[in-house]
Formats: sequence, C-alpha cells, structure tokens
Amino acid sequence: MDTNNQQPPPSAAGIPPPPPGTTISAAGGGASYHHLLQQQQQQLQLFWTYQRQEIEQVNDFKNHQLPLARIKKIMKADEDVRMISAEAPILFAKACELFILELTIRSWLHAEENKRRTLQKNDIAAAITRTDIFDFLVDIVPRDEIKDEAAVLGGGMVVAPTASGVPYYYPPMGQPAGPGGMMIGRPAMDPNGVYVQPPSQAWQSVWQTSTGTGDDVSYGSGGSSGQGNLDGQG
Amino acid sequence: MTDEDRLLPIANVGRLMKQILPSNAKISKEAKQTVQECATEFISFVTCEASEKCHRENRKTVNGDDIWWALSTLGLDNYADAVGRHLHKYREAERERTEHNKGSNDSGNEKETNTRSDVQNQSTKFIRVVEKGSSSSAR
Repeated sequence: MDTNNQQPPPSAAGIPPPPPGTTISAAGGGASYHHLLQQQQQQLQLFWTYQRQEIEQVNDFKNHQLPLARIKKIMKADEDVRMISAEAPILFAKACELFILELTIRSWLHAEENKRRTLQKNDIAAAITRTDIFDFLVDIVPRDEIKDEAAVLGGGMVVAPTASGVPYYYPPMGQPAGPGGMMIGRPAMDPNGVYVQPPSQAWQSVWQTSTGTGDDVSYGSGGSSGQGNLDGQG
Repeated sequence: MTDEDRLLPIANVGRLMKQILPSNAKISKEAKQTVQECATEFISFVTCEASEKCHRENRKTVNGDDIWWALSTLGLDNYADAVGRHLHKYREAERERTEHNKGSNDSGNEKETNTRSDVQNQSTKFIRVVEKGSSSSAR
C-alpha cells in the first residue's frame, strides 16, 4: 500500500493542525514527515506493549526503582491528603517509572530528529508541548525554552500565532529519524513470552541502528496504521 | 522540607532514563533535572485528583483504587491500564503472603503447644525427682 500520498493525521504526536493561512516550510514534504510520525507511533506502541508484558512478569513488590518513602513525602505535601494506604506508593513507583520512561523516549525522538545524541532540556520541552496528556507539565518548562527550540531549528520550524496566544510549533519535516534509521522489532523473548534479557538490554534492541538509509526501517508487528496521535492513549 | 526532599532522587531518575535510551546516548544534567521535576509534578497531579475523590466520599485514606481512578479520569489511559494490572498482581501477592503467614503461624502454634507440654512434663519429672530426694533424705 502506498502511503506517500497520505497527509499527516491532524492529531499526530499531539501536534495541532496548522491554523488557516499558515504555510509550512518543509524540506521533504508531508510524506516523509508522516513516515516519521508513523515510525515514532510504532515505537511508542511497542514501548507500552513491552511494559504491559513486563508487569505480567513482576513478582517482587519489595524492591522498586524509586524510593517509596520519598513518594509518600511528595504525596503528603498535598494538605488534603490525610492517610495513605501501603499500596498507594507502590503503584506510584510503577506509574512514575513508566512516566519517566515515556517522557524520555519522546524526548529522545525529538533529539534524534535534530541529529543529536545528547538529551537536552529543550527535548523534554518539545516532548511536553507535542503530547496532549502532558499538558499539566507546561508550567515546568519555561516559555523561553520552547522559543529557544524554535530558534535552534531555524527555517525548518514554523511558528504560527493562535487565538489562545500560545504559538503552535511544527517540527521540521522530511528529516530522517536518525543518521542511519532505526531497527524496530520486538525485544528478545523465549517461546513462553518471558524476556530472556534484563529489561534495559531487551529494550536496547529497539534502538539498534540499521545499516541502510533513513527510510530503510523494519517495523515490529505490533504497530498501527499510523492514524491517531502519538499519545497512544485510547 | 528542603528542595531536594520534595523531589524524587535525581540518581534514580537518571538511572531510569539511561535504562531506556540506546547505549551511545548522553543525558545533560539539565534534562535530568527537568524530568525529575516533571516526575514529581506527575505524582502531585495524580495525588490531588485521588485525594479529591476521597474527600468527596468522606474517606481519609488514599488507596490504590483511587490512584487508578485518578489516572483514568485524567486521560492517562495507558498508565491506568498498567497500574490496574500492577494493583491486581500486588493484591494477589499480598493475599498469598497473608495465607502463607497464616499457615505458618498455625503450624507454629502447634509446635508451641507441643513444646509447652514437653516443658510441663519435664518440670513434673524434675519435681518428682526433687520430692524423691527430699523424702529419702528425711528418712
């Protein structure tokens, strides 16, 4: 099926559609941008599939990646919170772990778009502004940070004024995801569906760089048609 | 509470970030700090919603179901799904642990009873021996 003629979905990556009368300067047109979005969408879907499978394997509720006492302290900072059940910080440890991982992946995708290998603050800012469900974080990243991002990207990024006074930002189109594209596939599993490698190593297979060009990407079997936004929420 | 105390530890946050990125990736200190703040805000944001639900229902304790509900209400469906599964597994594990402890306590009680009766038997024997000794010396 030829997807080159399709327009990028309006809500992809949480990026709003351009307001009327806005022109988008693009190096390679909408098709390769759509391809990039599709690729990112599949990576995020793969991430969530992987995490759900990981949860099914969990048996140890004693050791956590984040300290329960600190989580409880943060919860207690809310004056309305009186008592907290033992299970609440345990759930937050998991939810927070997933949140950090997802935000990091989304930020990394932005860094790769800009052919960088170092994650910077403006990558986090971009991930937040592009993702609808991260709206509650807009105050954490200063407005300047988002403006800086637009300046760094130069001609590729178009800023469009909106009714709300908050500008829309469009990432440069037509850029390959990375220097050599990405190899996307399911993490190594044994026939029973249990991961052979430890989580961090298993996930590394997603980032393996293929030897071909930016377009030479093999996709995992869990992807979608690329419709819908990158939030992967519902 | 100091500034550092109200945030998640940056070392843990950095470790998680590193875990998901390719091995050749680097993370700036600023990026770590930003994610650290975001993660802390995430906890506060969800807690606030869960706490409001408890307040409306005149309950004092925020539990796992409240957190699951808050995540769903806030549109964080993937998180709600994952946390729901995690909660189910946690409760299952807790139930098994409780049953296991109960079982071992029961067998422990039996042992304790046996030990007690042994001690009683021994002390009775000892008393008899003492009595015998004292009666023979009286003769």
